[in-house]
Amino acid sequence: MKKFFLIFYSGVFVVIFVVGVIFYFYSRESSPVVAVVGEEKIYLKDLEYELSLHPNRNDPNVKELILDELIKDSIILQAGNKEGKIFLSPAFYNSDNKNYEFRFQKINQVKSLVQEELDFVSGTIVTIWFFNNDRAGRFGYEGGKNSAYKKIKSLRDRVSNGEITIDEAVMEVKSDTTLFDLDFAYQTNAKIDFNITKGQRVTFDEEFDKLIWTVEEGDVSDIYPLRENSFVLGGLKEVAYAFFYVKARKISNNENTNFEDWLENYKKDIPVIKYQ
Amino acid sequence: MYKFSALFLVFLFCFLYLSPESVEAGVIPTIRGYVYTENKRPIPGVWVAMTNSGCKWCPKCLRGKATRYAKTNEKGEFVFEPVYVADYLQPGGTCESNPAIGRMIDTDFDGVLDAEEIPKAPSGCMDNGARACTYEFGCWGAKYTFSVVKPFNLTGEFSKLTEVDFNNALVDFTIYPGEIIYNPDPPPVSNTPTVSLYPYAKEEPPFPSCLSLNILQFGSGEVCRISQDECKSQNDYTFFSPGGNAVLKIYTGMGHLWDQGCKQGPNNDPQRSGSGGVCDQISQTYEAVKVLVNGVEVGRTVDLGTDVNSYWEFPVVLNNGSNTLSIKHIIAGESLSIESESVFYKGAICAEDSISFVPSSCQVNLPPAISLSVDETRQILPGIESRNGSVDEVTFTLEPLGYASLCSSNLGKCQAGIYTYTDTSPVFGANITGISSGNVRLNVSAKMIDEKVDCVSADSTIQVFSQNAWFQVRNGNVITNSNISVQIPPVCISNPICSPYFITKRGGNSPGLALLSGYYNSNVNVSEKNWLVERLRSFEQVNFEFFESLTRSEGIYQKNLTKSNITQYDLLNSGIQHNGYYYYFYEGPENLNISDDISLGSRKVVLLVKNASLFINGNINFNDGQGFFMAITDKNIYVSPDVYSGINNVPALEGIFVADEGFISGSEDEDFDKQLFVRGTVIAEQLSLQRNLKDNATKPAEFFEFAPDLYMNYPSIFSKKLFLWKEITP
Repeated sequence: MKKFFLIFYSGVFVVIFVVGVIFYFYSRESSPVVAVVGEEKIYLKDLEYELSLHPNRNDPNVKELILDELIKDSIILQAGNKEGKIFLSPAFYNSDNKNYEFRFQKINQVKSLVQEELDFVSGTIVTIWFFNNDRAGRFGYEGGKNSAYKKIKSLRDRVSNGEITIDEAVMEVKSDTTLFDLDFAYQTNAKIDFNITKGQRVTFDEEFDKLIWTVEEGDVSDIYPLRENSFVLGGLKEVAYAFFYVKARKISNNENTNFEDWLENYKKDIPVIKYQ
Repeated sequence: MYKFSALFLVFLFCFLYLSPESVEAGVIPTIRGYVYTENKRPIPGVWVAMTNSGCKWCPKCLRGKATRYAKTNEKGEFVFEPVYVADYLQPGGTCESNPAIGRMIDTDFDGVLDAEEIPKAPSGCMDNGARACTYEFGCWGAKYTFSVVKPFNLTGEFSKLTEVDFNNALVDFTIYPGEIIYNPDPPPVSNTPTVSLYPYAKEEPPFPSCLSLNILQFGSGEVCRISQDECKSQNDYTFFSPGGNAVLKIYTGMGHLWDQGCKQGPNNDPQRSGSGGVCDQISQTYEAVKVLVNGVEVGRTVDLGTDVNSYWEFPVVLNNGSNTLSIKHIIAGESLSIESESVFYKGAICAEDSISFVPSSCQVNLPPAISLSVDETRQILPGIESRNGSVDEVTFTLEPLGYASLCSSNLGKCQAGIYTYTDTSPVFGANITGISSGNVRLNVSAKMIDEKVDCVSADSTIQVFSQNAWFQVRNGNVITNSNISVQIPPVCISNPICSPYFITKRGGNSPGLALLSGYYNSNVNVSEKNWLVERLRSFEQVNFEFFESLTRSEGIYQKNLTKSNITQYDLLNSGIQHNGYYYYFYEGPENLNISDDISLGSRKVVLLVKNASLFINGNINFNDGQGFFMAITDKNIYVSPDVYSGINNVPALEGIFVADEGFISGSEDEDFDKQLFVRGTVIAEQLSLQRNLKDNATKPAEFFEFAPDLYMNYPSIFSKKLFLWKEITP
């Protein structure tokens, strides 16, 4: 009987020891969970790593901010997976031993795929400014304006006829030293490249910005005056002439105008629990 | 937040309102940027300084730098509003009354306002600080620097955005100068510390005296100061240095030079001696300060107008050991003789001087991590920044040993066992080859030999991984009654030489569909279009019996191949001709071997193999669009490992391959396997893709490309008649 109890208690001891060892190693290797986003756990280890890169790591507000960023990343991944943009893998998702570099690649992959689905228009604007206040150069306001129009009309017609490209038109403006009489900054003011999605602005002239969406891909716009409203100018006044070339555009009436819109739709559907 | 916005609008108003130039000269767009951690997490609440380099139209502005500040918001975003917005504001206030311009803010969070802490920068065009600040933004030709004011107790470093230029014309709502990144663990600064001297210093906190200046005893950023009593017509300092090149920077204070014959009069004003006539401020160029290092004149500061405030830089060569620095000024009330003329000075150059040394330095930059597969070779081109000198050699070192090896960029693949390589070529770089999977630290150090400077080195973690074999499809559909499991190498996601999709496309073609009864399991999207349908009902697979029955119904089935080894000769001769196709029928039980390469030209061949497997031991090709090859068996198709083309974009096998059992791609050994490129279609109960390349990093072991010409030339007898047209009585 004594031998039986000896064996029994030895067995119990071994079981407790083994369980204890397993628990010890498990608890040592697994980082505590600070949030659960949908089906993904966010680990303290991840949060601490991010905080170690931050200058205000001890600020509780920053801690909250970074946790929100990690939650946002998780929503992006899960939403991307739901739309078939990526496939989730423990290599970068829902693991306390994830490959962070790979995770960022996947997040960026989702972002760029969402971005590609948005309506956009891209191209190049050529502008010629003219002096527009009481120090209106040696030609005066009207003289400068007429001179700018003549210059830009010739360029616009040649681009439209296919004689020169839009980039060549920009180069001609930049190398035309006579424009110094119209605008000291004619070289830096010669060109602006745009690549905008719905709601984004290019210029201070709202009417001009609307026109950008009306020109077909590969087409050259008419010449438009850019108008600025300023008390220095004495109200709304034409300050430059511009035309543009539409390099590419996509108009599909996508309900999302930017990445944040897209993300907001998923934020509603993916539950978030924070353990703080 | 509202307070913050208002604060900038006020400033911006005065910026434009006081600008006398035409509007375009004074306009700058909305400028946004972000301050992030290395992982692009926002850093809110730090001040970003926007500093102007000066204006082309106003050379004097080059003499001073104007700075305005914006604080980052919750998104880590800083915003400098366009001046035209301020344009609409009620005139009033001055730039000086704006805290961000008047420096009534504490940008480094040390409890002391900037106005009390930092010597005021000189105004450029105007003496009046408020007006000057309006000139110094938005000038055409100006370039800008954006930097974070480092909080006083922070050890990390922020990157800077420099030489930022704006299109002033179109005030852009979306101009982003870029991102400023915080590095929590910056590399140590150069071994020669920078030492700054601020004369006319405040009492607290205590600083070491410049009389016993010893550079070796100073740490980075430490300051010594000169008391007012030390300010003389000539100040001499002795200091110790490790030697080498450095740049001496001097800022001279405010003052005015008066024409010859003027001297100090009542109230310290200049007065012409004798006649009591009026003194004029001189506008010619004169020396104001002369600088000597070790007795050698290294430069002079000169006046471009009537004041002398400016920054000056002089390259100097320092001794290893003791050095002497002499600064000769004229100080208030003194006169200076230059080429027999005498000018009188009013002001306090010496009392406002500041001096600093910037030694030669250099730094190596590397990405923090680089992925590399076993046997893959990549070129590493570190970023090298140098200042006041040039880098002469760069050394690459790997540790621990065994995971990767190094060699010259000219050599291609590196031999195993080389862990250090020093490059002295004009473009510093090295090749690195993965040897076995694991992480290894790459350290890159550099030297400026003439300047005796060791550059700040950089480390990168090289992640050497073992890439499994994979396969890829181009332009065609993939249809399976099972799952597709394929892992594309991670490097393909960032590397343009391999496509990060399972089904790729050439030119303007569509990539094709993936139709699966099971699931698609991969680390990448199925294709650029992501045309993927999973969990479909099972597909009906065409089989040997189907094709055999059609040939029998046409009356052409007749066993005409009797030997079990066939060559090109056999398939270019005999055969049963039907509608331009040559049919060959073979029956087992002995397996059929194609023993050598076959080139069919424009011949169209259909091969049916019954009760036997087909062994393909040579390449099969024909003229695209003219020839045709189709092999059908009720057993397996075995492809020899020797079947490969070895030439990029040239297929080893062309045709349609149908096997009731399996299609086996054939493997020899990892060290010898070559890519199998099939242009055409493979239909089999089971695909056994066995090849495993030595370099799986960027190349699929099996590559299948859809061949549209095969469908144009597909034998009509194998096409099912889906409709029967029949005339019926009305």
